[in-house]
Parts: sequence; C-alpha cells; structure tokens
Amino acid sequence: MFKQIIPLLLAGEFICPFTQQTAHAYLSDPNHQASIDAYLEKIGLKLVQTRHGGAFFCTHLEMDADGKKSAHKTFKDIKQTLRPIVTFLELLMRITQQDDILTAGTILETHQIMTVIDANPSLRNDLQSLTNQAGLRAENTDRNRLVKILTDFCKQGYLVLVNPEREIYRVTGKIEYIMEVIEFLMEHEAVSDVEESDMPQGALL
Amino acid sequence: MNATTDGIVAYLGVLHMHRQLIAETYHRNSIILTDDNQRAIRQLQQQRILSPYLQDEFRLAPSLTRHLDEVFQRQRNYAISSNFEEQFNRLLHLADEYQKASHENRSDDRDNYEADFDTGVFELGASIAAGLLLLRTLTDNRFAHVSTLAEKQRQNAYYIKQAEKLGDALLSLQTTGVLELLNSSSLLAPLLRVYQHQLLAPLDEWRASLLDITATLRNYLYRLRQIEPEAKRLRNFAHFLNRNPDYQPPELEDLPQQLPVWAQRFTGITIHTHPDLSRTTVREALADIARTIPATVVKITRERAAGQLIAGSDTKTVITLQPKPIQLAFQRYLHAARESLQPLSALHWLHQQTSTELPIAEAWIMYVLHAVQVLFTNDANIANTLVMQRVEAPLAHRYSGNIVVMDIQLWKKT
Repeated sequence: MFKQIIPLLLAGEFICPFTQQTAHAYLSDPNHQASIDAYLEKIGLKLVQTRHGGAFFCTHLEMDADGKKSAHKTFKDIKQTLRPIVTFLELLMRITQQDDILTAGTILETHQIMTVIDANPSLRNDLQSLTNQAGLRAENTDRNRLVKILTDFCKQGYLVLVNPEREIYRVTGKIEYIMEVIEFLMEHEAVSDVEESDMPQGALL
Repeated sequence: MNATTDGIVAYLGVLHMHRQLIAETYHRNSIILTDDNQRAIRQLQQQRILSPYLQDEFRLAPSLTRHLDEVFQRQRNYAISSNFEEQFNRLLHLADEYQKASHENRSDDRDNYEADFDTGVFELGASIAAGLLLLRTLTDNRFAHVSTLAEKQRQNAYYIKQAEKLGDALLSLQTTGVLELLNSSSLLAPLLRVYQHQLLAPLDEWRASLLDITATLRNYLYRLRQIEPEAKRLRNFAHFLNRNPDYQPPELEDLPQQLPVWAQRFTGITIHTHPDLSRTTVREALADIARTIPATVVKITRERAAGQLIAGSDTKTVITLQPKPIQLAFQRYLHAARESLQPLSALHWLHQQTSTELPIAEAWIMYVLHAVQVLFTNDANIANTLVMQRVEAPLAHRYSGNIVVMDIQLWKKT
C-alpha cells in the first residue's frame, strides 16, 4: 500500500475514506503514518489531516521557496473556486434542508435535489447563477446545469460519484479543508457573525 | 413430502397467490378492505398474515413485517430489539429441561428440547447479526432517513446505547449461566456443540464489527455537535460574499508570517517514470506487453488514374519497405567478410565507416551476433562459406555463467 499512497500524496491528492478507502484505512494506522511521514520528511514534506480527520494530505515542512510557490498556487486556486463552492454548499443546505451536508460521507441523490429545485423558482434562479459563477456551460435545462455542477465539484474533489446508475454522490473529506479555509478567511476579514434572522429570506428558505 | 411440510408448502402457496396484495400492504403499511380484495384479505387473515388494524383496515403480521424489513434493509426509526436477556433465559430453561429429560430417559422430550435449543441459539445468533447489520447500515448512511440535525443527534445517541446493549449481549455469550450450565455436564455436550458453533465461533468477528460501528457512531455524534456552528459560519460567509460581490481573498503577502496548515499544502507534482532496460525482468515484461500490441495495418491507397476506375485496375500495389541503416550496414559488413580471407572484426569495420546513421558499438555487436546466428541457422550457403568467431572477455566470475562478447569476427572459409 505504501507505494500506492506516496504517488497520491505527491500528486497533491486528498485521501479520504470515500475516495481512497484502502489508502485511508492504511494511513489511519499510526505505525503506517509514521513510515509515510518519515519518507516525506526526507523530501521536505509532512503528512497532515484535516481538523476532523476526514482527509489526509501533504504539507511543506518549511515555508521555503517551494513552500511559498505552493502557497501562491493554493491562494490562486482558492480565489478562483471559493465563491462557487460557498454558493454551492449554501444552496445544497437550502435544498436538502440539512446542515450535515458539510460532513464528509453525506449522500447526495441527484433526483432528490432536482425534485426540490423543480418545485422552487428561487432555487432554479440560484442554480442558474451558480452555473454562470462557476463558468460552466450547460444546455438550457436545470437538470443539465445541476449535473454539470455536480460533475465539476467531483473534478475538484469535493464530491465523489458512488453510484453512476442512480447518480448518487458522496461528500468527500476535502469539505473539511474548505471549511478550514472559510473559517480562516472569516477571521482574517473579521466577518461578524450575522444572526440568521437578519439574513435575507431567500438565504434561509 | 409429509404432512408437516405439506402444511408449510400450502402456507407459502397462499403467500405467493396474494403476493401483490402483501407487497402493497407492506409498502403502504396497511390495506383497506374493498369489494375486490375482500376474499383475499379474509384468506390472509385466516392464515395470520394480515391482522385487523382499524375498521376495514388491515396490516401485515409484525413478524412478517420484521422479516421483510430485514430482507429489504428498510430502516425503522429506533429499531433493534434488545431483549437478548429473554432469549438467554429461554436457552437456560431449554438446556435445563433437556438435562432433566436426559436423566429421566424421556428421549422424545429430550429431542424436542434439543431442537428448540438449536432453533433458539440460531435465532439469537441471527438477532445479533441482524442488529449489527442494521447498525452498520445506519452508520454508513449517517441516518439519511431523518432530515433534521436534532433528529440525527437523538437517533445517533439512541443507537450508541443500542450498540452498548449489543456489546453486553456479546459479553454475556461467554459469561452467561447458559454456557456455565452447558459446561457442567457431559449430557449437555450436543447442546454445547451447537452453542459453540452458532454463537462462540463468530463472536470475535461480531465484536470487531461492533467496536468499529460504536467508534464510528461516537465520532459521528461528535461531528454532529460541531455541524451547527459550521453551518452557521458557512451561511454567514455566503451572506458576506453576497453583500461584497467584489470581495477577493487576501494575497499571500498580506497574511501573517505563520501560515495556517491548509495554506502550506503541497499542491503536487507529476511523476513520470521510465523503464530500466538494463534489468532483464523489465525487458521481459516489456516484451510481453509488446506482444499484445496488434501489428499496424498497412493501408494501401490506390490513386485513380484519369479515366479509369480503381476497381478495374489489375496491377497490384507494391509497398517497398525501406531497410533500416543497421540492416544496410550489416549487409555491407557481410559482403566485406565474404571477400576477406582474414578474420574481419565487426567493431573494427564499424569504426572505419563514415556514415552518421550507424549504431553505437554495443548495439552493433548485439545486432551482428543475433543476425549471424539467424543466418547460420537458416542459410546453409552462408554457414558453408563463412566462419564466425566470438571474441569473448575473460571470465571474471567463472561460475556466473555470463559470457561477455567483446567483438565478432567473420571471414571467408578456405
């Protein structure tokens, strides 16, 4: 397993139980973690976990030139993807009326999501806005838009298609990573905790 | 077939005959009596498959519902029976009665108690396995059948308790009075064998599964407690982004010196690997792969001459394959060797050539060695007119079996 995991980590992948079950199980063993970490340390890297243990990934041991280069790339990616991912997650929370979609492993069924969107013009508008925001081109149907968005978030590693026939997706451990990013940005920007009652009606449907 | 099994077959026949009605009742939880289904419902009621619920409304017998729930993995809220204690007590009574019947030589009674004990043990094992399966399904689905966070938290807490009860039941399998009683007398050996086979043998597997489930449930409960603030944070941030459509995350230089862990993420590199051709195993593996690659189909494009159809042309198109530089070089070397009465070194001949398309010395020697061997095997004329000699390096390790060919010499046979 060691030799399968190293290339994944070096490719910058997040290893979670829903994308790489065997690899995640292997890394969950402290002895295996130590051996992987010892290897990575020799090339200036370190194995870390997201805060709630939903995914393993690699970080730089020191913020040298390579580390800074990586950090620049990370910030560039975040700039490009932050707004669509936040909009998408907030939209999903409204559609499913479940807050726990923010946890790794949550199941998303395309037809259930589509049924709710079909019945609500406001959600249909939001879906269209999200498609434009994410820079996706979709045919002129809501279902196509939704499928495009779900596929795009699969490519970004936030979702994984677990049942192609029934179009069932699972939220991956990478969700915890983006939640850490959001928490940091909120602190940095000193975004105040607005009471939910102060928010516009649409946001709390 | 005998009278006992005939009754069961007849009962299953009734189930089969009214399968649509039973499926509908299970799916809807009840069925209303109408003129059309009246006869069928009465027959099912007689067979205790349906039970009256409200006026003109019937439900499936709970035992059949439970069976269908198990078969179709239907999740019932707050399910899992935990009356393992009753089942243990029953086994204790049956074992006790078996022992008494054995002492008193009541063989028929003893056989009946043995059969009941066997069924009881099987049912207890099946209950534990079914309980574990249900817990596993709920854990994997993360209580997807309930929608609110509070409900999930309550159900999670409930199932943790059920898992603990299941853990107690597993512990009881080894510490209960049943096992003690079974071990106390050799008369009870047949019952002990059943108990060991059905309950003690899979115990380790059940325990491992339960430990895993309990750990996942506890972890999930912990996560559920954290979701609410995280969900609120996400909504706030989405609200912030809506109010600030021009917002951009800060530049790296504007951030504090000590970056958070997420920002230190290694973004990844692409690794390219190349085969090590100096290793025989690699070369063999590559040769195996090469053999699976289909040969290139040579497409012959015939140009149509003015005023003629392509199909009408009788002349066959000829493709001339261009020999490779190494093949041409070998032909020239062979020709020179046929003229030479002295041994003609392949390496020496190569170094004398001025063409830029010639191979490196190692490849040349390998090619000449292989080509000469092929020619000597297949062409008697060559074999009779030419002499070939390998110039070998001294044996460095005489037992290694390696022969290092330094050069090849060819000359005309006199």
